[in-house]
Amino acid sequence: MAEPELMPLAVEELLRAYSPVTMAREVHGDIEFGGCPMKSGDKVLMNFPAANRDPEAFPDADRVVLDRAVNRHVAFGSGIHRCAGSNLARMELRVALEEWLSRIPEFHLSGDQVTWAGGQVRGPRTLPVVFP
Amino acid sequence: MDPERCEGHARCYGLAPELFDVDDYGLSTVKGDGTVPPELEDRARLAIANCPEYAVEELTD
Repeated sequence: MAEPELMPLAVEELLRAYSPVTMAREVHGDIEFGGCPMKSGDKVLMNFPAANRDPEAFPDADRVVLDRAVNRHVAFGSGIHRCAGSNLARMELRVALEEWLSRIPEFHLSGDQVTWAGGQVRGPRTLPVVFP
Repeated sequence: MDPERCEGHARCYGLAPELFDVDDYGLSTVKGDGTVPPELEDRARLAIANCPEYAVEELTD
């Protein structure tokens, strides 16, 4: 709130630390990658959230550092299938956070159960909060 | 900027719009001849360090 110019960095850090999407691919052609043999037709999960917590790529990877400046995360994937909506999503995140924080700067979890969506798109299903 | 590697994440453009532009397909391009003025060197290095495709490179004379 005090440093609104940090919001773009914070958005990237939240994407890194809480990457919501785990993508999947189908293998086309037998290959061994990183010691793991794969056959044509195999289905592969690509765990972007784990890559984004790789301690070799991110110092203090399990800590949320809102002004982390070097942040080569892959929350939107990489390569030719990079999420086509990534830059719209970035803008939505920034606008939503800015509007929420300007209207409701003080809030806390109610203590009621937070429930989570499982599967390949992760996020809270219910997130009870209390604000004045 | 390696146009073969760029996939349009636009991290460079977000970090240093003075140095990068995006085309109609969302792919990044270098503005002008790519010469970085001293006051923008830090941001150019951030653009290099944040590119998920390793498409931005520092060249020196």
